[in-house]
Amino acid sequence: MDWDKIEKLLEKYENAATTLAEEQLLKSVFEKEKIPIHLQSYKMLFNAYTAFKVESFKKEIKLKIDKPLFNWKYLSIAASILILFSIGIGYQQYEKRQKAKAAFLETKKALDMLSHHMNKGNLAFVQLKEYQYTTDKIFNSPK
Amino acid sequence: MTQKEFLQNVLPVKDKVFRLAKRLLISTDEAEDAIQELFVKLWNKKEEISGLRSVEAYAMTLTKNYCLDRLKSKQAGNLKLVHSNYVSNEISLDKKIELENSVQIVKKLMDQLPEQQRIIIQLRDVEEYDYDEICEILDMNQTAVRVALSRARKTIRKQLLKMYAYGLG
Repeated sequence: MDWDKIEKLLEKYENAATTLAEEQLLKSVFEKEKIPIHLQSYKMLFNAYTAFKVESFKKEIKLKIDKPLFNWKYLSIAASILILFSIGIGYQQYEKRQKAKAAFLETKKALDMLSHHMNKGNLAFVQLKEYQYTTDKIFNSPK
Repeated sequence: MTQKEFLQNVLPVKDKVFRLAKRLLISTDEAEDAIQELFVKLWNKKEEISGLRSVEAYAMTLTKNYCLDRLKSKQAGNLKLVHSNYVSNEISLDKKIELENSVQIVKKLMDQLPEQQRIIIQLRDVEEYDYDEICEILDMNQTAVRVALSRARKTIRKQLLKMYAYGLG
């Protein structure tokens, strides 16, 4: 192995000037060859990097696909409940108004009757007034 | 996009986003929770995704932002990170003990880097993305990425040499 060349590559490596291919070459060299003592630490480094890469994710991944909290189905159910509710309340209100209307008509009828009879009485007043007028004529007529 | 198409497009990224999340959040549990939430987010955005040039870059960006937000709110809430042990698989037994040790050390050194540099090291040195992809994921220009990467590599190297000097390796 040409260690001078490797050391030059290592220097390039530290300056982040190596290509991927050169870095892969370094990795494979330090994996296999007998390494001079002064380069032992590189062996450790590159072997560790290679070891890091074999770690894998083993758990199963669950995609929560059909469970969004907000759902149009729930919204439509809520809407229909709301509509039923408001129809109920509306009907109640309508009933109340009908009842009030009926009561109003009843009262009006009663009051009409009252005024009718009062007017009947008024007729008597007219007659009385007429009577008064004539009596006044007789008794207060100037001589 | 149907669920099947979605899974075909997005699931291949899951290990990469998981490793990035773990690099940032440190705890495996939290990273797993984060991935779960991220995938639900991605699923909800499936219409947007189907029009994207690179779903992978988008997923990585989303992961990065999500984890940084998580870290921020955690600092505000003053919660402690839970460190859990790294479990390596697919590495032959005879190498395992030796590796475990060095992997742990490198991991610790990476965790000490500023978040930005940690992400870049993760993307470049672990996941082996090219610079264009990294720029797209981080929304940075290439010079800035290279500067940060070089700084991170030098920091790790320096720390590593220091440890070697104390005979920890």
